[in-house]
Amino acid sequence: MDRKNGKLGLILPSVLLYSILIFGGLFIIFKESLGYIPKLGLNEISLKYYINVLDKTHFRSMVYAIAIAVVSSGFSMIIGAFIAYRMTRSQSIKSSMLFIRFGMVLPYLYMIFIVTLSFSQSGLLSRLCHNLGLITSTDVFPNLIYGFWGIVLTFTLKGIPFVALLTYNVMRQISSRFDDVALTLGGSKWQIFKTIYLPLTRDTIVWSGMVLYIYQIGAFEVPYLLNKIKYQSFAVKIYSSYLSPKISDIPQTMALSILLFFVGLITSALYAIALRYLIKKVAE
Amino acid sequence: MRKLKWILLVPIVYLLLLSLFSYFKYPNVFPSRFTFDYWINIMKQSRFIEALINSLIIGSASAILATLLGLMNGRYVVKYFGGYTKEIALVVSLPLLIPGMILFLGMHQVMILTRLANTYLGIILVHTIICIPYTTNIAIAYFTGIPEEYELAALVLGGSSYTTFKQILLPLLMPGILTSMMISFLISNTEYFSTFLIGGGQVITLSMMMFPYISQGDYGHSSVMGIVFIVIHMCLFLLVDRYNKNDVDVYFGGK
Repeated sequence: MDRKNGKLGLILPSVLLYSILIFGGLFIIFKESLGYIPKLGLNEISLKYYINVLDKTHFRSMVYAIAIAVVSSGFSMIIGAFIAYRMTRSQSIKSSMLFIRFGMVLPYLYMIFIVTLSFSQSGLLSRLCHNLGLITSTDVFPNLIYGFWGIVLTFTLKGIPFVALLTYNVMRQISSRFDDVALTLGGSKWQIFKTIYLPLTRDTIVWSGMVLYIYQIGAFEVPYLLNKIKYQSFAVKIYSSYLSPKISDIPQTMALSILLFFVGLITSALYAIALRYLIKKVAE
Repeated sequence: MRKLKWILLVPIVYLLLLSLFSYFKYPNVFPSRFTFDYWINIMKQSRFIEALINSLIIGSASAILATLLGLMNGRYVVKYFGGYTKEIALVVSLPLLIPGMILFLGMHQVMILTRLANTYLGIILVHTIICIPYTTNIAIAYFTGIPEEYELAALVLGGSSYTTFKQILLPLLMPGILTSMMISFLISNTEYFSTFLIGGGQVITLSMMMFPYISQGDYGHSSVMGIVFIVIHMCLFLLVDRYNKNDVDVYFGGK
């Protein structure tokens, strides 16, 4: 056997897993989205399910999901990158690292609990305001939790440690090499960050932002638990439609999923391009 | 600014307080009436033991499988493919680049077809897939850090490929293996949606047991579940950190 080909055995299991589970799954969904489910007596291939789902409410929840993901991954990237930069400046990062670990260990589900506990109308912040005499009852405290900003808050908080850790890993390599030069030349902290750190960590920041973005448009539990009934996030909509016992809903659900797939693919690529451009502009 | 991060201790302190005090009426800032009821209520449920064991089984199995596959992928990319390009990174990261909802619905369909739906194996395979991008990245970073001469020297001195692996590569890879296992174990255990979907709600894990308490806003029981979850994973993290004193820099997304 050819030696090099023999080594393909190393990646074979992963390739098989990816092909069967990921591509196999996508293929089945695509097939069913066209209305071809012989088991259920649906044999006709058509695009009518796609046409059916292209309406205003679905469009609106898609935009809603994208807006949430753009805003929260954006915040996570900005704050995460700054934290990583500050960590490269400080003498001891032990406590910061501990907090980052803590943030990573928390499940999304649990982040919802912490956000509710702290910021809901009867949460800690509201109680504090009441005791300071700033508000008189829970109704006066703004609703920060249920709806757009609550979801954004949860996603942002959960995303920060992820960005910070990945970016810090790259940044600490830079600090030893460039810092002395930059400081000797009289660069301010912000200038050093802008002109040295940001361009050199651009790929990592954009990559982590993209991963967060895609996770967030496809996530279930956070939008599900923190949503107002009026607007449903797209992924939650797909899942409730997936649970529907009506046979005619199946191709529709699958069409929605394929839509999510392509929208995710296109918008995340655009998002990454835009981010790269933006970071380049800031660094100039 | 520097002191701002200590505000993060507030939720941690409240988790402890709320798991031990039952009276938390608005606008009290601190809860009162000490009780062990929440802890006892959780601990005496047979569902809790079941969830704990299931999380351990599914988490460990996914961690071992994902780490093993990650090592194999890493070895191939570094030694036979000649470096970690952006394109490879994109392929490896595939599960992270597809929105979870469609990824998991698709895998659920495959699981139904292969009769793996509602089984442990089904959940483990799905969790393994979403861990592979991380474990492969870690493995690539560690393999890249091992000079090829080490291996050649061992082989020239008459070591078989097995002894070379065991004596030379394995000790150098060990920190990476531990990190990779730790991260996969954590990812697997934090997964709520995929576990629920693929397990059909029949395989209860810690995340799934947490869900109703959190959705009902039950502070006491949520806190207990949270503390159990956090303590297990923080301890593992700290143990791995302690062992890995000089860790290698992992570049996700290629170089």
